[in-house]
Amino acid sequence: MNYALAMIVLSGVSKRYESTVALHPLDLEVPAGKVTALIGPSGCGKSTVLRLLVGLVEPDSGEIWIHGERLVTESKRNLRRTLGYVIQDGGLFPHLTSRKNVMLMAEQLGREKEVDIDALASLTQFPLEALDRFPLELSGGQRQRVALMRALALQPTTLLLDEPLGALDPLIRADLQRDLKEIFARVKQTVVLVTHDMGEAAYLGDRIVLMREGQIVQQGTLKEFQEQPAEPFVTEFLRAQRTVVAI
Amino acid sequence: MRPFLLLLMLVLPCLCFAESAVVGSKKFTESYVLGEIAKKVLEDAGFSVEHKQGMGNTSIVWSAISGGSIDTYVEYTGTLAEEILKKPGISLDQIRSELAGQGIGVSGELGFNNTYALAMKRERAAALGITKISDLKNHPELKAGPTHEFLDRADGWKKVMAEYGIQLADVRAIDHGLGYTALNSGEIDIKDCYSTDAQIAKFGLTVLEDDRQFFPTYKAVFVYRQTLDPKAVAALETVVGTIDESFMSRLNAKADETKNYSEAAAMYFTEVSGRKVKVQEEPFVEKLAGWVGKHLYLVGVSLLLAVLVGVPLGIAAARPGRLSSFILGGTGVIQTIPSLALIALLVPIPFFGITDSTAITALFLYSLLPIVRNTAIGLSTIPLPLRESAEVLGLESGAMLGKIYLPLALPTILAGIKTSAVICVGTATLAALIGAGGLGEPIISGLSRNDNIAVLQGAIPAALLAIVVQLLFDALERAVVPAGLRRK
Repeated sequence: MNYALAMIVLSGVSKRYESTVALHPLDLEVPAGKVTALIGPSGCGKSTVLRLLVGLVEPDSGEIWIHGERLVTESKRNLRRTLGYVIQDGGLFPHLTSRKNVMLMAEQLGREKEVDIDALASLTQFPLEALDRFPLELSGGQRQRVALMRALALQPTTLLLDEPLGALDPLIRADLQRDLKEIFARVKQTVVLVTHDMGEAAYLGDRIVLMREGQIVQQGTLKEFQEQPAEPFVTEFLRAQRTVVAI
Repeated sequence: MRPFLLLLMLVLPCLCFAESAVVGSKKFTESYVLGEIAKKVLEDAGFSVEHKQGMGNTSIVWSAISGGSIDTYVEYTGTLAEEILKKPGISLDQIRSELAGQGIGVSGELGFNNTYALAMKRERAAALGITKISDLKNHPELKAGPTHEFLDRADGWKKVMAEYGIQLADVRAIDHGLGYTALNSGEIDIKDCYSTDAQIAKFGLTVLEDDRQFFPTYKAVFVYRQTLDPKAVAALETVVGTIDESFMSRLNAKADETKNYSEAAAMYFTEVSGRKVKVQEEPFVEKLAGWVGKHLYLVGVSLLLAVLVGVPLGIAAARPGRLSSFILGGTGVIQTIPSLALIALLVPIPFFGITDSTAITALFLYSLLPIVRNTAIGLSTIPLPLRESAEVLGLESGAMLGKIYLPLALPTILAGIKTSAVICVGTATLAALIGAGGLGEPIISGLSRNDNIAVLQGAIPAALLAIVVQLLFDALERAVVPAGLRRK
């Protein structure tokens, strides 16, 4: 395994929740500076991978390495501060304005000066005048942009996005997809994106990792999936995703 | 200029050294009235007098006179012998010489004996030819309605019936004030009373003669500090022998009827010496302000303590586990103890006794549950995505609590505090039971006198206060709950 090229390495990582197996022992390398899209039907374990990476769940076996450091309880807090995490409904704190949500961690660490909130707003196409609004006063798309700003505020080395567009309606979703692609291109961070939409995965991801029942089925590009499917499930999954045709 | 200064130097000492005296009284009508009479005779003797009305029960007023915060009050010989000296049955002279050793003087008897007695409606007693207790033996059909206390105490109803060999078929306990109403309407025929109760005069009742001298004597006397000016003592002695039972009963009735103790005192002077006395009493608004002030003090202190203790307990109880069940269970159990019982349980504990601390402690304990429970619920119902977001951001646990959890739970916590405050305003009326004052004072004394107006004088302001407290908390909520959390 080449740790230098891989930003994140999972080696023999397994996880079960009571009687259900969420992940079979699994090996995965996430290359630095690239967008890796984790995709698969619900319950395939893609979100579990992300939750393992941010330390919300702990693996039953195996090792997780982030930026060359092993993720264990002691290293968790420091490693988390090098990650930006966005979830489906943003996880914004409703009692704080957008600005406060973005600045929260920087203020806690006394690193306010490192955050250029205007630049973040323009990067995420978020209207400056809405910075002092509360999350409930924003649209769903705007909330996700604030969540992105919060994730990016302290220049994380890796962005972890768990279905960030999952709760948005199609038009807003398309807008944000376009903007996300631009953002990824500009920040050049390592990105792990969890989605259930092959179109989104193909559009945003440099690499696609298709999972099923806690195992990786195939890794590669959409083209490779179409031309050399590892097993019939790959073709089946692609066919079921009608949006692929549109792209 | 100089003559003026000289005049000032002559006049000032007189003003400053005009001798003062402090009169105390216990918390019932008769004591108030006699206190007002004492105040008036002392004022007439040239003293400047303060009357500390309704200080509490015997132990409180006695410690006040022993400690020197009052100079005199009216006590009963039976109480002095039994409660103060613990020597039941000793004579007035013996009491006087015992108390002299403690620096307390005792006046002569004022005249009346305020002891337990049995009363009947006059017409009914006359029709049956009953004048004394032993006459009851021939009337087992009479319905009796003694008070709970009298029915239960060892030297009460059962003992007197046994002593006289009387057996009544229909005996049921009934509240003192309501018992008089029942007696007057003929629902019961006989009840226990104090021989100077106002209702005896008001309803025209016959007090049955205690022909076997069963009941102990409770003759009223002034007790005074021996340091009191002899002129003052002489003034008090002028009251000696001037008030018999029926006169005292009428004075009590006057006080109850007019709600004005000094008016009752004025009636005394009119009847005794035929002179008119100017009546003065604290205006109602001032009394009300005093009650409300004390009420707010009790509620405020206990609520503050409950917040200081309850919120941390609620934080601890928010995490499911044994500690959480213990805290929520414990505060829940406290809530199930009837408030009267809780106060009664606290009173015998040395530190508490009959003090504000007891009232505040009881109110504090009652205020805990809503605050603890709402804090725990507010914290534990924060949506999982928000908890996880806070955790993944890498916030320290202190910052997580202070910046995220508590602000998010604030509306629920405030609702708990509001509930506690409103309950507390209501429960605090019970503080008057142990002399801690507040709006319960007119309610409790009104209940004991069957005086609905007095009850309402406490109950209506207490209800209004509860509403005001509610509105204040609504305003507080608008002020402190972050805009993003407010219901639209």
